[in-house]
Amino acid sequence: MSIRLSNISKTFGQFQALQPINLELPKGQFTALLGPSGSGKTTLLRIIAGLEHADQGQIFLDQQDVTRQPIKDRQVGLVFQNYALFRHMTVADNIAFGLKLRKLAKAEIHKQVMALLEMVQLPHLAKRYPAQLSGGQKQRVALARALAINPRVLLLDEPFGALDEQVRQELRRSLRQLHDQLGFTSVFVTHDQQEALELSDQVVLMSHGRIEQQGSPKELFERPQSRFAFEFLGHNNLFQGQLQHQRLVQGQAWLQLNATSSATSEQGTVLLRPHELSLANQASEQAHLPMQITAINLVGPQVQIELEPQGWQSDKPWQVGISHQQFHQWQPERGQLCFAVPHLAHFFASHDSPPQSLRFEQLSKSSQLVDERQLAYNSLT
Amino acid sequence: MLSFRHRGILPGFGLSLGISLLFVSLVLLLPISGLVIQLSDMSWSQFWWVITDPRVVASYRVTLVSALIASLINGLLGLLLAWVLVRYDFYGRRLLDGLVDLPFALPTAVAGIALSALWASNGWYGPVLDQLGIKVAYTPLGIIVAMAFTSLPFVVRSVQPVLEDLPAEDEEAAASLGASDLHIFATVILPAIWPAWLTGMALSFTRSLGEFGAIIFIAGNMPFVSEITSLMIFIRLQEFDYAAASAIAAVVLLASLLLLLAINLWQNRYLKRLQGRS
Repeated sequence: MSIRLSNISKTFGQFQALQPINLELPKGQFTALLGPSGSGKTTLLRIIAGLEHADQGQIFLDQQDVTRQPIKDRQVGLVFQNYALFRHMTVADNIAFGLKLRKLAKAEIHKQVMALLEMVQLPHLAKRYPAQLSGGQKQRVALARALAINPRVLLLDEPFGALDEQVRQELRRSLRQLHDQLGFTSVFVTHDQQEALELSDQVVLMSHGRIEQQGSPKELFERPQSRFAFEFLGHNNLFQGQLQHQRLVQGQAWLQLNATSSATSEQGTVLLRPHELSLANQASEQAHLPMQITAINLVGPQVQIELEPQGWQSDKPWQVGISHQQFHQWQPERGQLCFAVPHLAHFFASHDSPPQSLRFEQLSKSSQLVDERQLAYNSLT
Repeated sequence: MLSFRHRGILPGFGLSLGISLLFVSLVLLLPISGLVIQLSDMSWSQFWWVITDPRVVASYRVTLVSALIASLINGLLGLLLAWVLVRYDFYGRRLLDGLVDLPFALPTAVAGIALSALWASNGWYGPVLDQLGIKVAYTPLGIIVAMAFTSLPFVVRSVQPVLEDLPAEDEEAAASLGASDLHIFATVILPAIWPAWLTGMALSFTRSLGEFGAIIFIAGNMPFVSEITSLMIFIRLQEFDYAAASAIAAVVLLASLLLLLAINLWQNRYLKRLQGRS
């Protein structure tokens, strides 16, 4: 079922939890509401569910106006971070709760409960009580209970928040599988950008009660449209400086800008993402960003290198990811000096202005990293 | 088994346990032993004769029935009060919350005098009820009123914390599955607070069994009609018949202990399920 929100707003006392919001979630899609705490994502989910009432605006489920419909008639499935299983009921009774209210025959209920348990791979636990289950199992039961009523929409509020990493991965996978198999429309709230980008078809990024950006995970990751979006979607390396002759300068460091970006202001900030940078023993012609390696993290598909600016300042250390192969050739060590070489950078004239992307030409082979003689030289000094 | 060797970081296990045990012995166990020692003056047949005296038996009935009704009334009103205190935020909530403990703080004799003044024919409520043909003061109804008054906090204070801990999500989940408010209360909330509620009522019941001060002022104390068992003990004491007083007291004690035991056993079984210790 498609969900349409039109001009939904909500205040709690003085606090504007949601600015007027318009949002359309197509049928059968898996949508993530992503944002930091206090961004209004949970409030929005609760309004869709019918647990909160919007001050203004309308909600449509499949063209039907449900704004005034109480939750019990909305036929939405809910899954909570703390599972919210009925502790005094067995797993089977929990799942049967909604079915019993629909006045089905006993045998039919039993059949459906077993089918649902099969679906979440827990048929052997039907007779257990929630307290006897692990966190992951509880959330599977909660999922089965929500799906039992054949919901028009499945709403999940931080569903993996209380689980440890491995269980979380597993449950994510099976949730996505169930979604693809059954084709229900679902919306889930998360503050974890990785989770949102990995699991969903569409991400709605929220901050301060507004929708900051909306799009597929690919769009969102490749083209963040604001400083907030950049900062929320992974690590950023920050370079702040004064504009001088189409260069952004700070101390001994500088970065070449192009004509359009430098026209309007005297100061600026550039964000550089770890995967849009490389490291070299020489500065490039477009950027001079001297660095010292302070930490090397080998765990993971990429080698994460942490760097401290040399002769200029940055609030946080920089991070650059290089491939293991590159690492093996280059063999950098802690304390070594090098230069950050950007391929892509994102210029902000002020905090609220939209980003302008700067593309730097790929460096010629000779200057790019790893020159054996230089390595030898470096290790001597 | 007590293990003195396994000590935590904090010292003083032996000392603190010793003092606690001493205190429990002096305050709880010794008086009970005294009671049993007093009893040893009697033979079984004397004992039986004392505790089955028709007037005493009538007092059992009055006490039990009144206490049962009082604890049921408290069960309902206490639950309502706890619900109001937990679920709604209103002006004066904290004051009301504090007032709940008043029956504990108030000397029971004071409560008894106040109640009889209110409910007597020349009091505030009395004349109104008289017109309806209901007499409360100096009848068994008065006993129920006094018992309900003195034991109200038990139910409220047992249910309140459990109700507070009940996650709102449970109810929200039930509502999303299509349950009506009443259905949610019956299938989700009540089973969760049930053990605490029952405990509160049981405590209220046992307290009512032993209440003395508040009741004798309002009960009228008519033999066979509105005499409570505690009063029978008191009367025997005034007759310097310590053995008989102890005999009746022993019956009350036994009844209370059995009740507590039964409640604990039942509750244990129920909680096991909730906490997964099957």
